[in-house]
Amino acid sequence: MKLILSYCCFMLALAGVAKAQAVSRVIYDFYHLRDTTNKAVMYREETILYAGEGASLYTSYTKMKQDSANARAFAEAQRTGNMHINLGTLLPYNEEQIYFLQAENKVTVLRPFNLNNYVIPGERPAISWTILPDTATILGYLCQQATGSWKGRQYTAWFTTDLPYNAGPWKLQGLPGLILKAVDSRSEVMFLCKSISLQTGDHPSLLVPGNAIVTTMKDFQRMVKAYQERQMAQAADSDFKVAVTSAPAGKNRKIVFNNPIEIEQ
Amino acid sequence: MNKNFYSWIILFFFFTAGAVAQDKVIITGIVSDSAGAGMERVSVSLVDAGNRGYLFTMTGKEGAFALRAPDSLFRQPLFIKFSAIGYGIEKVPVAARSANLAVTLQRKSISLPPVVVQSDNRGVRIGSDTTHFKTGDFKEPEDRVIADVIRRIPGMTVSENGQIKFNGKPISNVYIDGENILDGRYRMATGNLPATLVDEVQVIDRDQPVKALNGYVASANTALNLKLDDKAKLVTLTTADAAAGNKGGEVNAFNIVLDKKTKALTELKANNTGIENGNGTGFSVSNGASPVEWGAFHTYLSDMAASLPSVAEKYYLRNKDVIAGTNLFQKWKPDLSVRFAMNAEWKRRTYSYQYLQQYFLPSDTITFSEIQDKQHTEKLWKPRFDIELNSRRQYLKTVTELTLPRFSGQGWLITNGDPVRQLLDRDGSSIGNETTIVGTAGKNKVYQYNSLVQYYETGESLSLEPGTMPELINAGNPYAALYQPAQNRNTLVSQRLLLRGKVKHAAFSAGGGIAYKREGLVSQLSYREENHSFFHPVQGNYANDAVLNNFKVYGSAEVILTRQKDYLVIGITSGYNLNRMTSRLTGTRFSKNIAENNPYLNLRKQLGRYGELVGGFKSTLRLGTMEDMYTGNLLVNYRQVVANAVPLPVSRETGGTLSFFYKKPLQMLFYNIILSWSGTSSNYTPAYVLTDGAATLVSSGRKNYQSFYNASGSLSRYLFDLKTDLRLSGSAQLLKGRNVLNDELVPYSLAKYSVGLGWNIKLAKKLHVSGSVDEGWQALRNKTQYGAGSNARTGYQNTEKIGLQLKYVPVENIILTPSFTAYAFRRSSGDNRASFFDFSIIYRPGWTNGEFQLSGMNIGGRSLYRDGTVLVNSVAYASVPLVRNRILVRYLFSF
Repeated sequence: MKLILSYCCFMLALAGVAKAQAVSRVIYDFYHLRDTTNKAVMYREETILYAGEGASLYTSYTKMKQDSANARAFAEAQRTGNMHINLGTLLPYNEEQIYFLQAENKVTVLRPFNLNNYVIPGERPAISWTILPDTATILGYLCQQATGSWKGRQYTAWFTTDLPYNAGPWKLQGLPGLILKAVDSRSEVMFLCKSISLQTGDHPSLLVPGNAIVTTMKDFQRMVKAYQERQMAQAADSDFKVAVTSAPAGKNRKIVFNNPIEIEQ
Repeated sequence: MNKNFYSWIILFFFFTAGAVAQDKVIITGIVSDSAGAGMERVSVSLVDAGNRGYLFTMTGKEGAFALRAPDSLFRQPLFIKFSAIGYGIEKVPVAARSANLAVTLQRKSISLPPVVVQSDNRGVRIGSDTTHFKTGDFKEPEDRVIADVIRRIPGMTVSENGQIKFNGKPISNVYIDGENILDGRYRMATGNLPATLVDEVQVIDRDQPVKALNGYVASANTALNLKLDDKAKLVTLTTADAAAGNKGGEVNAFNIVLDKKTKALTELKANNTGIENGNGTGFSVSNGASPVEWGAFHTYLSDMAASLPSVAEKYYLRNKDVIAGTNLFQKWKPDLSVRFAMNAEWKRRTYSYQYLQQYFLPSDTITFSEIQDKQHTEKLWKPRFDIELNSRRQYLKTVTELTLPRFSGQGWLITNGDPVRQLLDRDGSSIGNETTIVGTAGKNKVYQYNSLVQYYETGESLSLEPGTMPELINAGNPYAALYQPAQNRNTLVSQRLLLRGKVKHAAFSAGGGIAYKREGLVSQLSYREENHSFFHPVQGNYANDAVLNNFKVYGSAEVILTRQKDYLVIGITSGYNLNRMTSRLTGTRFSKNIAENNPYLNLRKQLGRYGELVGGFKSTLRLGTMEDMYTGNLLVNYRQVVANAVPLPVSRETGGTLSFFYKKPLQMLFYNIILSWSGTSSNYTPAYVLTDGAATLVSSGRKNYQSFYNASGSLSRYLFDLKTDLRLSGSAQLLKGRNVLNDELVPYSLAKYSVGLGWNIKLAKKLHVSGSVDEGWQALRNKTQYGAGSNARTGYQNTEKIGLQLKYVPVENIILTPSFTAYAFRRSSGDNRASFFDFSIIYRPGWTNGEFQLSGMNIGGRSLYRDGTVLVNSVAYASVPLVRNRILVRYLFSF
């Protein structure tokens, strides 16, 4: 009996040691009417929020999935010596990564560009939320309604205190629970949570990379513009052909970006 | 005026009229953890009974919080809800004027398990629930195929033959990325598909694959969808492995093509290492379809197989298997697809068993002892072609299948000291077509047409040398040989038309059909005397040339009442049977017309958010088939002759099931309780005449009643704090009935129970321990009807099994898995024990994408295993030789 008890204690102790820090992995469908002259086309992207204790990271899930698939395709091509790689249909995505550190009350935007990471620090968005009594169940969680304004849009959000993260999609946060749905009053921007799971294994760090270059939004945009102008002047030759099938472009109508998510700067 | 309205009013005053002076209730408190330390950033909400929040705040550095609530809020019961990441949610009732609270939160290490409950259902399954299991969260490094991962998911079980159950419910189908590629024959996918290709395993409750029948039928089916990883869509993948060792080898290859329009799965497997790879599609297996099942091959002769031991098959199976199969799925249009499947099998089995069976008679025990040394060879060809149109308005599915099995068994056996050489050959063929059409017949009305046409035949022959049972065959004189060919040819035609309709919360169907079945049997028993070269017909009634025709006309009506996920189905099928039996040999004719009414009821009720109650009742009339009615005696094997004494056996089977399923995926808790009962009343009682050397089965004209009771349950729970997967199961069964043994009516009762416990614990990243403990108990009690308790005969046996498996990963590319299994077997007449030590070492070198595996089986263990089975009126024991010290070196790779 003593042996069994000792064994159980040993196993419990080991189980405690083995416990890993886990983050919640929240995947949203993000919809955005980018072109108000063509309301039939909504931009859609899968985004992901890694929420941990006191910190979160929001980024593009479409990009993560696509990068992973492309890396495998390139590796396969390298292994077989095949110079033609079919990457399938490439979906558009946003490269921005948004870090939120509660202790410092800061939101940091990371933008990769030309093999470097640039971080643009900023204050946490001070959204003045009004919590309303309406409730709804999303993915099995009882959510409560709240409304608030940010950067020129009036948002209606649904949050749950069962998941007490002060986080949400994009820069929407500050409610006493995780935001599972948010839609603006014009129905031009919507974030809709489609799955929540726990990631106990490896996950991206919720801390801003230490080797990133700190800059401001103005300087970053100026640098990007300068680089693009120079690039257009230099057409590069390469034997390495990459076959890319673009997403169907409908009637080849020119895409206009006239409706940014942040209306006011 | 509802509660919502009042809430609005309250909040309106609270949020917009803040300037108006009100009485305030100040609620303060401190939140601490179980060690007494104040907790910062705990979410504190003032909520009502429905969890609607009115005030929110967060705790400060020392865990302190304060809420100021207007007095008017306290006209209803209110609570303070505390939630923090990694801790359980606390909800504390707050009475008006409460001032200070001290709350301790208990650590609940993970409040979100690695599972997703997703609300967006697949389009074809309106209202169904889907539970998503992320493969990566359950996969262990040594898992190769998706069945290995499914086995680890709490609530899932995968049996040795590949059948999957989720929370006690058998899986009806496995879809691959939503496509029905295999149409129920899912073992090829789950047993071969690399685990790395599957992103999610999705469990679909109330699966209804026919879109046009959505809302018209009730479904309690559970199906799986294997959502593939993106990389599976980029490549055609082939996995293969080859193994060689001191006692056999294996070659396995699997190819999967997942083109947008064409999907194909192909497998080739060969081994002589005791692994059963066949799909079980040879003799005696029905394909199953409604309303009339495909005819299964009739086999009248057998070579009397021994009961199989309870140890894992790999320890004793001596086999040579080659199987090949391909499934091609092509989508012609979004709703139109075709499937082609071809399975070919060649399997050889070698048996060398010692077998003992004891029949308990009222005043005696008759024992058969046998040594069986024989070899079976089975071959099978099975092509199948399907066309399926599955749209919201129309459904067409036509399945055409050809099955060509062949069996050959030969060997020696020594029965009660007398040697006999036995040859059994069997050749079968079946071709059939099943078609289902569903179409719109007006607003909220559809028609459904089902057709099944099949022809199937079996030719068998049994040869025995020297001849057995001389007292029956040759007036007690020894003779040289027996030979019996038997051939049956059967035709099945079934046509049905139904009209289905639906209104808001109800659906109904009415229709009818006809079914015709023709069975023919021809057999002749001949014997050869010593020093003669010719076979002579055995005198007496040992030949058959008979035809049985059954024509049935029936109508059916069904009402389905639905409310959200709940349903109640009440239906009845009423028919009239015309039965005609003609014996060409004797010129006798028999006819009997029978009316039948078969009512049924099914229900499903959602109990709370996670519970589900499923019940059913049905009563069905079964008429005897040719197997129960042929008039000439038939030698079934070397020691059994069957004579049918009842012109038309008729049985009524009545039964009910009540099951409760509980599924709380976020907490990884699954359990079920299943209660069932069935009773069969027949116009005959099986009767056996047993002598020391032979058993004769006849049917007595006595009425009989057999009842069966079953209670079973299982529980699966993941203990997050201990990183342990725990599984519990138990069952209790009781079978009661009567047989006639040597002209004496013998009531029997056969009771069985079993309990099992299994666990899998992750002690550390490098060390896992899993194990199981199973306990089983069986008891048989025979009692003569008139002999009171003094003539009761009983037998019992207990079986115990303990298994322990370790997994140690010293470095990333090496996995060591030693395992130990011990069996203990106790019975009325003595005990037996056996233990097995196996091991596996996996090595993944960096220079190749493959892996090496060294495995050992039954190292230093026993060479013979004995156990037994309690059967009705008898107990059977088998001694089976085991394979010892098998070592295999395997290389697995993919390209």
